[in-house]
Amino acid sequence: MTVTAGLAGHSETDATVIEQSLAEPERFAAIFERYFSQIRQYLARRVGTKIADDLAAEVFVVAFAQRQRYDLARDCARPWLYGIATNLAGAHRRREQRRYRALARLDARLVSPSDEDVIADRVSASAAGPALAGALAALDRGDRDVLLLVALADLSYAEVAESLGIPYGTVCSRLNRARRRLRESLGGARQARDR
Amino acid sequence: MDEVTAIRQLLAKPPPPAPEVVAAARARLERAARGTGTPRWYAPRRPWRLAAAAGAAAAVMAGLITAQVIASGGARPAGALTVRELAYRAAAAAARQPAVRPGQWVFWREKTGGPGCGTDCGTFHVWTTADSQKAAWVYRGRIVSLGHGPFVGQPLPSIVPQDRGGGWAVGGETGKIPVSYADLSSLPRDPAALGRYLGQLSLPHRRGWGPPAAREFTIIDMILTSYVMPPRLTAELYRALGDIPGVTVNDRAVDVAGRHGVGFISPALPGGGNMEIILNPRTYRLMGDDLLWGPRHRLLNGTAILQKALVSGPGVWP
Repeated sequence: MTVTAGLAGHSETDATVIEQSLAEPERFAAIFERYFSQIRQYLARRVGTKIADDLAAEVFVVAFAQRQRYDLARDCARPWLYGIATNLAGAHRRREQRRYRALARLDARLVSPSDEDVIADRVSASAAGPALAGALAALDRGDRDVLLLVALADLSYAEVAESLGIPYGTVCSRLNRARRRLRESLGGARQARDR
Repeated sequence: MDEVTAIRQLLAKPPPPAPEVVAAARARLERAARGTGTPRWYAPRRPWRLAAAAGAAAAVMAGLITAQVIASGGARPAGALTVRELAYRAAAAAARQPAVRPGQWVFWREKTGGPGCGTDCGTFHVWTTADSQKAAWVYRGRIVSLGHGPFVGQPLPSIVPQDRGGGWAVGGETGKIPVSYADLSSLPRDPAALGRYLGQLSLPHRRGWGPPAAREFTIIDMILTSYVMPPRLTAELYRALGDIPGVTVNDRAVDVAGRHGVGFISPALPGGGNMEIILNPRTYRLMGDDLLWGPRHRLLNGTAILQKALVSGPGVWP
């Protein structure tokens, strides 16, 4: 197969492309072109760019191998791909947690946004970094996966449910729990700074 | 600012991938589509007899028939150890170690490293009890408790810079070891039965995680790197490693401290990658463990045990 540029304007749904790829494997290249960058970005934010480069490539190899099982009733393959990426990232949990701790030690002054509101927010986020990163590392894996799919992949609750193969209600409860724990840690960090 | 926004800013967007990264990913997909170069963790596992026969045939071709061709890991080149040979040497070495009690204090000096280690790599030292229930380190000349375990691996203390508030923090892998120290003595004595038992245990946060062989290897790795056990138990775990289907021997293992060793490489883990337990090639004692990635088993990250010694208490240097 030679992977060529994706379909201009996504004139065909992902489901159509995947269905066609069952007979014509090279068609799957369009899925790669549509989503590689965003999947790699999601993974890089979780496990760092070095590993993400490898893992993102692996996501599409896995997706290709599993395309027979894709639910063709779902037009958009994005949640499916994020689900694969999340599962692959799960094998690097230790690495991910190390990354959170490393990020928590970054200096706020390294961030140089142009907008004043963004500056305030980033300084705030950076100041809360240790608490936030620590809380992220301490979350149950399932809770963290849901939270990061919402925060980093911009998936809707329904898409997260589809992505992870869990009920919609479970997504809501996991997200609520994760957000509550992060709020508590951020609140604790603010109180510590205010003292 | 809400917590979701804070996460988005903490985990900032990376630069776009370099063209060669995209090209390499495309090429990998192309190879998969052609049916070549498919990552081996998706390849069906061959029945062991077939694997052994293939290994034996290769040895005949080379005129180097090894005396023993075993099920787990297949044949090894002449001069190299089979999985079971390595397992039994490691077991024999473990059996010669001194007896320990659960509350025995142990000093560890370890190094974390590898390209996937980010900025959190480095050497650290810590004291734990043999049962991993207690941990401590020395901060500014004082012995500080690192909380209650058991810890997966060793807790990783670090000094927080002054501009980040100062003090110290502790990291390390979270989760729970599926076998408590107290339950170790009731594990099955027979290696095959032990393997079956460990292979059906659930891994915390990893529900339904992987086939039994990968699970068994991972649990043994957790136990060996977290606890300091009575010699007999350690020996039994090493013997069980020798019977796990799909385990291979790497006689050119290198730990993250750059030391050469001999490693047990796990069966493929779910989602990709392999664990490696590295032993000293002369003493067959544990040197550390690594996470490997890709068909060439490239190092992602790992931990090297630079020093491990029984001591009389926390803060006591060997």
